[in-house]
Amino acid sequence: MLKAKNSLELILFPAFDWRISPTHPEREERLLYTIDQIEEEGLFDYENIKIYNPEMIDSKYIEMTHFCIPAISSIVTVSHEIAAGSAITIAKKVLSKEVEKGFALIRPPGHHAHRVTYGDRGFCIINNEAIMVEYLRKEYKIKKIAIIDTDCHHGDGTQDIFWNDKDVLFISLHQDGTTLYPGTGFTDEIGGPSAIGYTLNLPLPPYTSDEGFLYCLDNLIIPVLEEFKPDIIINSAGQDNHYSDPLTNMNFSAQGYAKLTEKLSPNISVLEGGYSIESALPYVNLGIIFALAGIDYSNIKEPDYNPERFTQPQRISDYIKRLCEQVYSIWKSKEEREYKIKMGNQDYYFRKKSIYYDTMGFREYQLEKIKICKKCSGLISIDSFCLGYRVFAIVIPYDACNDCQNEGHRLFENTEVGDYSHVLLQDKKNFEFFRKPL
Amino acid sequence: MIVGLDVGGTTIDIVAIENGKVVASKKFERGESLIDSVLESLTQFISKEMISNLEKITLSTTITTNAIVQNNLDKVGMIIENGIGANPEFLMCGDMNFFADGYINNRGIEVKPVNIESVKSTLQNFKQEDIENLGIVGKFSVRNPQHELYIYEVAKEYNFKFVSVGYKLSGKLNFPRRVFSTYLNCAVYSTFNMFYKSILTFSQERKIPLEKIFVQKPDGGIVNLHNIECFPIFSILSGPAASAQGGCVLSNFVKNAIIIDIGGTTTDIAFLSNGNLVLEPYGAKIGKYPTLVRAIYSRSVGLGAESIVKIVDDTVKIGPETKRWYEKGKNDFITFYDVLQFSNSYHENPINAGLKSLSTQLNMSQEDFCKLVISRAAAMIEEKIKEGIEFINNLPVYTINKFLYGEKFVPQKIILIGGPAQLLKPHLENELKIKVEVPKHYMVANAIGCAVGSISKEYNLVADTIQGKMVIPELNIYQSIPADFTIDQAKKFLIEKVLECREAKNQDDVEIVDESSFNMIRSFKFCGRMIKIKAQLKPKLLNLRD
Repeated sequence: MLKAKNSLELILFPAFDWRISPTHPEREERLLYTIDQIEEEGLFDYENIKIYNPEMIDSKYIEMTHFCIPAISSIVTVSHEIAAGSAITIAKKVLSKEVEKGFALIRPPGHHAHRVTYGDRGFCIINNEAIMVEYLRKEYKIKKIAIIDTDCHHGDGTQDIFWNDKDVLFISLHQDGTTLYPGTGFTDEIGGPSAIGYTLNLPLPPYTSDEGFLYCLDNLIIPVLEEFKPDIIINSAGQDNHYSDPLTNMNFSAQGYAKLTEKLSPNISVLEGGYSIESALPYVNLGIIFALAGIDYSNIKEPDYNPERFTQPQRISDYIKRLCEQVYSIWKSKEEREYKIKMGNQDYYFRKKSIYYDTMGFREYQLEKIKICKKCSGLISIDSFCLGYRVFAIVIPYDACNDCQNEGHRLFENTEVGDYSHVLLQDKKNFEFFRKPL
Repeated sequence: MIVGLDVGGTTIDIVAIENGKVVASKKFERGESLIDSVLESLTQFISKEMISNLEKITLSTTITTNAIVQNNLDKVGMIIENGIGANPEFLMCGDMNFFADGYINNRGIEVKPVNIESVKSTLQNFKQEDIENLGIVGKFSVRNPQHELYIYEVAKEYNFKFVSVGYKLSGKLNFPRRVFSTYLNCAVYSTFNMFYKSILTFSQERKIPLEKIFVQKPDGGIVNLHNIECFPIFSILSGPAASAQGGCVLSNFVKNAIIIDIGGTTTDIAFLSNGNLVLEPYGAKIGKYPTLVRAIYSRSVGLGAESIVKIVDDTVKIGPETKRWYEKGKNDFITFYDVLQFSNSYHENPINAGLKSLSTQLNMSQEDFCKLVISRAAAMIEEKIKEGIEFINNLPVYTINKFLYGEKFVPQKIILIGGPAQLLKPHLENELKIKVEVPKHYMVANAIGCAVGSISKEYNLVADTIQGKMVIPELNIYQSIPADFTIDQAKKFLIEKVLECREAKNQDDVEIVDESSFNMIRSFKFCGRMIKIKAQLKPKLLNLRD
C-alpha cells in the first residue's frame, strides 16, 4: 500500500445535485473533472490519505459568526450548510491529531460572506473558514489563527469578520481591486483599532505568474507568519489565479500552486473559487493534495503548460517587490499605530461601508462602530440597511472586558425593535446569541 | 442439477443442488497437488447420472491466489503510459517496465500522441530478455483505449505468448490499480492455463460441455471457463465471495446482515447491506497489489477452529498459528475448537493436559479459562465487524440527496457458517448481543454459495456530447452520439447492448446503480452534456427451498 509523507484528510463534496442556475460558473460540473483525476490517480489507495463525508453544521456556529438577515433558514441553502459542516469535520480530524493535514474540496465557497449577510455575494452566503474559526476557538480553545487567502478575488468577507481581531491574522493575495470583483483589498485596509496590521492585503497586478506569488510568500507571508507564530494555519485555497481561469487575468500554474502549498504548509485548506474546471482544477487540486501530503508533484503539469508563455514582465516583479516592502512595514509598525489610536482622544472608530451583492443585484449600507477600549479589543455595533430591513447588530468580542460586555448587553436591552427590523447580539465571550423580538 | 466446488484451506467441499434442494454434499481432504485434488474430488463426486442432467458446475479455487502469494509468476513486460500525475516509479511491477510518452485526458481526448518508435524498440528488448507476457496500460484508457490498442496492434508482430490491455479489465478509473491488475493478469497466465487445460481435458473425458463449467469470481458472480481464459485474474480470492453468498441464500432474507464464515485457519466477515453484498469500492487487494478486480468487501481474522491457544505475557492469545488435529502429539497444545467443545460440553472427555496447564498458568478454573478465550475471540471478530460498519457508513457521497437521506447500515443479525458455527453460536450471541443464525448446511455453505452464483458484471457508460462520443469499456463500445443525446437514451442504449451481448436475459436483469448528467458550460453558454451511468447485472441468487 502506498503511503504519503504526511497523513491527509480529504472531504470531497462536489454537491453534484446543486447549482445556482443552469449556466452559472459555480455549478455541478465544477468538481467533476477533479474527482475523475483524483480517482484515476488512485489517491484513495494511499493508506494515510483518508476521505471523510461531511457533517451537517450546527446552526449555533452560523449564528455566532454571521447575522443572517432576515434569518438563517431563509437565506442559507443545504449546500452551504454542508460546505460549512465540512470545514468543521476537517478541523475536528486535524485538531484531534487523527491526521496532520486537511483539505476540504467543497462547493459553494464562502470567503465573500461578511459578518452581516443578506444572501449571495460572489457565490458565497456563509463563510466556511470563519465558521471553522468559531468552532476552533470554542471547542479547542485555539488562540492564534492565521488565514492566508490565495483566491484571486479579495477575501473581503473574511477580512470583515476578523477586522478588529488580532488573534486572527488575515493575509489576502489577489488580483487588485481596480481590475476585479469585489473591488477591495488595497494595502491601506489594515484592520480595526485593536488589530491594526493583522489584516494585510497584497493586491497583485494582472498577469502575475508563479514567480510573483512565490516571491510574496518568501518575502512577506512566511516572515510574517514566523513572527506571528500561529497555532494553526488555514489556507483559503481559491484556484482562480490559474492562467486558464475564465473570470480572472492571472498566470499561476499547477506547479506554482503546489509549490505555494508546500512552502505555506497550511494545516487546513478549504477550497474557494476556481472556475477553469477542465483545464485547471484537476491539475491544481492534484498539485495541492500532493503538496499537502508530501508526495512528489514534479510530474503534475497542465497538458498545455508552457512556462515561457508565462514569464513575468520585469515591471510586475519590481512592483511586487515594492508591494511586499510596503506591506511588511505596515506589519512592523502595527504596535506603534495601535498605540497612537488608543492614546488619542477618539472614543470610537467608525467604518462606513457600501456592500454590493453581485449575484442578487442589491446593495447594503452599513455603519460599523468600534469602541476604542484600552482593556480589550472593544465592543462592536453595526447599523445596517438593505432590502427594506434595518438591522442593529452588536458583537461582544472574545476578549471583552467586563465594561464592554455589560455595555453590549445594555445596548441590546435598550434598543427598541420599533426602530429596527432586527436587534441582534453575539456575545462571543459567553458563546451566546440573542435576538429581538424573541 | 448444479454442482458447486469450493477449495478451502484444508478441504475441498462439493455440493449438488437440484430443484432448490441440496441433494448431495461431501468434503474431501486436500492433497499435495491442488489441481489433482480438484479433479480427483470431481471425479469421485460426479456420477454418470449426475452428468445426464447437469446444468452447470462452478469451481472456486485458490490456485491463482496461491501463485501470487507464493510468487510463482510468469515474467512480464509492462508498457505504461503514465501521463500527468504522480511520479510513476511505484508502478514498476513487471520484470521489465517501460514508461511510454503520450497522454489521454479525463474526457478521453488525446493530448499527446504515443511515441511508437520507442515502444517498438522496447518490445524488441522484452523479447531479447525472454519475456513472453506483455501488459499494456494507459492513463484514462477507459475513456479512450486508442493508445493501448495501437500498442497492442504493434505488439502483435513480436509474437508474445499472452498480451493483456488494461482497459478491458475494468471500466473504473484508477490508474495504479489498472497497472497492477494488468500485470497480475499476465503474471498468473501460465498457472491458470495449466488449470484451464486440466479442466478442459476432464470435461472432454467426462463429456461435460465446456459451456457448463464456470469459475467463481471474487465479487460472488460466476464466469464461464471459456470466457475467463484471457482474464485469469478474475479467478482470484473467490473463497470469501462463495461463503458470503452461501450465507445469504441459506438464511432467511433480511436487508442488513453480517455473514461470518469460521473456517479452520481464518474467519471471514462479509456484509449484506440493503439486500446486496457490499463490494470493495475499487477492487480486491491481492498480495501487495491493489487491483480493479471487482470483489466483495470482506474482513479476515486469523482465527479458526485450528488456531492454537497460547498464553503470552499473562494474556490469552489465539492464532494466527494453527495445528491440524492429526498433527496433534501428546495433548501438548489446545486449539480454539477444543475450547469451544469443552465449553459446550459436547465432548465426553475433554479435559486434556493442555487446557489444564494453560488455565493453571492464569490461576483460573478450566471453565473460566474457556470463557475468557471465547470472549477474546468474540472481541477479535467484533473489532473487524466495527471496522466494516464504519467503512460502509463512510463510503463517499457526492450528492446532497444521498448525504441527507442515505440510510445508515445497521445489521439485523449475524449469519454464521463454517465447521464450528454451531459451537460458536451461543457465545457470539451472548458476547455481541445480536441475533445469530446458523443455517442448515452451514458446513458446506461455501460450496453452496459457489453453486448458486450467477453471472455478474458492472458497466460504466460515459457520454460526452461536446465530443459526440460514448464509451462502455466493459462491452468494448466506443461510438459516436448526436449532440442532443440524453441520459434516458444513454440508459436505453446501455440496456439494449447488454441484452444484445446476451449477458442478460431481459431488461429487468440490468440495474442502473448510479446515474448523472452534467451540463457543460463554456463561456457561460451551454454546449453539451457529460453523462455517466453505472449499471450492473442484478445478482440472481437461487432460493434454496430446504
